[in-house]
Amino acid sequence: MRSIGFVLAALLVSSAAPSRAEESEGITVVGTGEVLVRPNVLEISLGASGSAELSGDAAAKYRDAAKSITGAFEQLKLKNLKIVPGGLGMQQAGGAAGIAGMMVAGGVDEGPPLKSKIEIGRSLRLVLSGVDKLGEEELMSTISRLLDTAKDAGAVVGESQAASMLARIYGQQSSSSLVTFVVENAEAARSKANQDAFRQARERAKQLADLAQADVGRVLSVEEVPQSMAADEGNAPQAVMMMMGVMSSGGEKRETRVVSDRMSEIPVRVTLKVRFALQERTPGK
Amino acid sequence: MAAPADVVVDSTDVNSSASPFVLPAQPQEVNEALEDFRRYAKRGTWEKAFKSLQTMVSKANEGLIARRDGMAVPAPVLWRSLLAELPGDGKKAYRLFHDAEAKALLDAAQGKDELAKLQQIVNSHLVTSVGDVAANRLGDLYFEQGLMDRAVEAWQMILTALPDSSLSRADLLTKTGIALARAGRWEELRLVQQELADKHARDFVVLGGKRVAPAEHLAGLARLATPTPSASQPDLVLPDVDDAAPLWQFRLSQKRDAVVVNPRMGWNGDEFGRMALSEMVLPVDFDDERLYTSLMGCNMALDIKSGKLLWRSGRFHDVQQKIRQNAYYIFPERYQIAVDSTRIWSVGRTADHVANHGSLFYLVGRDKKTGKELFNSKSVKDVQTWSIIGKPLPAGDVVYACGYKQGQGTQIHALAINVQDKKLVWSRQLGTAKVDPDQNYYQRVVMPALALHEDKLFVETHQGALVALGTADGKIAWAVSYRCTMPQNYYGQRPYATASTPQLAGGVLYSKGMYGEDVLAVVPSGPRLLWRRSVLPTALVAGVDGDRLYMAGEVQPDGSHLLIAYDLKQLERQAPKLAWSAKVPPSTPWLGVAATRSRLYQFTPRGIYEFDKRSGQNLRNGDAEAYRRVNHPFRGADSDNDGGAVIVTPAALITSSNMTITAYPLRTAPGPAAVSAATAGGR
Repeated sequence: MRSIGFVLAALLVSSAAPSRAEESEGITVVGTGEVLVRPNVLEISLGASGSAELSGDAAAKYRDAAKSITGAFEQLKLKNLKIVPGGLGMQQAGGAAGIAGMMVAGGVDEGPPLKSKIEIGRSLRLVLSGVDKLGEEELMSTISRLLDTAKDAGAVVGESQAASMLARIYGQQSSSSLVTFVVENAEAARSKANQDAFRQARERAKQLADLAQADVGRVLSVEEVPQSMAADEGNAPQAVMMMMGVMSSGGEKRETRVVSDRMSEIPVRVTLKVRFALQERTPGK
Repeated sequence: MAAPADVVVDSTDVNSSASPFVLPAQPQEVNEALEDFRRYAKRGTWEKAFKSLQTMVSKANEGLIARRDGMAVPAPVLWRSLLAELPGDGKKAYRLFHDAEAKALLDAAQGKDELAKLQQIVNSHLVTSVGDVAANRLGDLYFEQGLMDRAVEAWQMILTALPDSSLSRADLLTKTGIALARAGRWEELRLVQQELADKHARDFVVLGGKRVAPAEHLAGLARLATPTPSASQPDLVLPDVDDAAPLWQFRLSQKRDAVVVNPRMGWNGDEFGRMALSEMVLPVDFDDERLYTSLMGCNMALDIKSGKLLWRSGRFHDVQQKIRQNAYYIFPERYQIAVDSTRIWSVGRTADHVANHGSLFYLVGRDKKTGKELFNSKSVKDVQTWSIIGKPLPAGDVVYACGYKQGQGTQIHALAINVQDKKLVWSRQLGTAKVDPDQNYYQRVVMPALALHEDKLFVETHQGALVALGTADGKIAWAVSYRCTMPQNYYGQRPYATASTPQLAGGVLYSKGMYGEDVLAVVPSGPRLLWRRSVLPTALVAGVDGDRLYMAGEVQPDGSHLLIAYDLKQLERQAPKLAWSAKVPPSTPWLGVAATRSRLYQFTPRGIYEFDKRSGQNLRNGDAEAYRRVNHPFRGADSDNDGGAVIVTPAALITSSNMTITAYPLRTAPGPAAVSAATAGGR
């Protein structure tokens, strides 16, 4: 029985893995498709938080901050503006900025605070849709109004000081842009880019096949090459930031989005790695 | 004989490791005497116990002893409270041993010695058969002298420590209530009035020859409660448009990088942690006609309405020259001014020593109208080698200040100087600081802040202790330590450090030290620590009115700043609850908030914010329910600044930033006329 089991296991392994002979057959090519799309949504990241030694105080400060910030934007009465709250978080306060400060200053600071503090906070995302319909002047004026409203309400706009500092320490690029432009519903563009990428891959395969005096056969495999690493995959600086409480570690998973820090057409790019079978050319061709 | 109750004896250790300021403490013999007292009292061996008490007082110096409630008091004050807390057997025994002595003292309490003898009886023999009589007469004397807090303290000792006194309780409560009303301690007055209504409804007292029902009489006084100064200041009407023209503007420089405010001047840049000259907010004070300021010791007066320069004590160019030569040792925050009825008082170095390391800071008094120098501490024999630190506090013929002798920067003293005969009345060492201000290159200099009430001078050291001294002799009446971070003296990140002046409202003193993690509420007469309330170290006391404490400058971890209001329950020993908090843009730590009847105003880099005191609502955020329909702070005519102080004067609204002093027309909302203007805090 045991020997039958071994034989079966060997058969399964051998059938799962492609044979060396198969791996070497065919042509593997890469095709890229790109579609330019204009952003239709504008986002501004804000934060609302409260910090104190007493958790009741921290909660009260957070509530007042959130109310003040959302109230300020409601007063603008912009139709297409909505505020998307992130998840509520609670952590020990001062640790990340204090540690980052120590690291930048060479380990010297005013000393540890005598009491621990609680910080309650939540990220807020201002989302303004329909920006693709605005002219440049009107867009600039709207963005200025939003930023002024945010700053007048005492909101922190963009990346926190602690996050910037830690990013600098780890040599990571940190964005200084206050505004993010987003393409929503990029699926149509992505689909077109897929088609273009595949077409390009087939054309390249045909060129190579011609050189080999062969024909392009069936598709053996298709693989999408990712454009950039995911934010939470094996990135040490990000992990440190999460550990220090500078960055949210979870609670909301966002799909990879098409974003830019400029209001201009954004390329939606797809790269496909396709393996075609090679067929012997029929004589007379 | 019943077993004596355990008498709690306090430790003599007034200094904790959590405070960087070391208060004067008692010698070891006093500690031993207290331990002896405890031991003997526990056994009921009263004669030996009282001898130990006498030893304690005789060996005690002018240092302090820590009480279990957190207050540190002189030995005689502790003796008094130990006696008051004795069990019945102990009090009886005390009378047995000390009645004769107390009676002799009472008989000798005549003429010019009357007050001193009565005070001695109260301190040392309160629980004797004549203690209540002495305390009652002492209270009467203090009342006649206008020292209401002291009068209340004397009568309350009888009410709390001598419940068996044969003196009429209704009489004592009535007198206490009247003194409380005169002292503006309205909450306590209401409690006394309630007790009279509950327990003495049928009693009558004689006032001014008339028999009156005491509860009704005090209720009548309570109806006359006067508001705090800010509560009588009408609210402002700020312009809706940003380009509302100012009345005038005094500009430090045309550009941020001009000579006087060059941010790159050597160690005055951010990179070494030292407060940059470019952050300097000019100190400002005012009277009905003039605004006074000091540019690194160059004093000047401006007409409040026109901004015309009326006089100045030196040339700006000279200041600039000296700063250019050596920018390393300038401490801009040490240049302070204060105004009284005839003089402007300033603290600063002489113009030719502005940038000299170790040069003394002098106290100078000038005629307000002409600028003529009338007083200079360098020509006062007793203080000519002292360096003055902090804002001075003029009070009639005396000016109070803090200082230290040359080369002894850690020995901080309080000083009282008679300005008529130009002599030092007294000096008193408050304690020992751990950092010498002359060597504090990398952080904002820690400077004591002064406040005055009746016969007490309050000194917030901003280094871990709040101290009260008697104005007559400078003796320390009590002190409270609080936890705070020790100022550092080496290169590093410069922390955001604010400083405010202790504020008295409704008979309670509120204070928050620089880097301190608590705001304190102390009833000075008693004294009694009402509560400590945890706040972030960057917060400062911005104001107090009837039932709210306002704090500004609190920096959150995300970098935003808060203005916060706390609900006060003044007589309850519980920390106040947070009523509301409002976010404002980050501003200079040299900030000052103005309070009016129902509004708070804060000057930030984005303009003047206006908040409703009750709700914390930002009244300039476009809310249709607010009385304005603008949606941003009043930007004003001072741009590219770090914020600063906003000050309401009788004739103009003033902002003082690191770039300008700007005056705007003063428009007020309809309401009671202003009794006095709010002044800026934070310096």
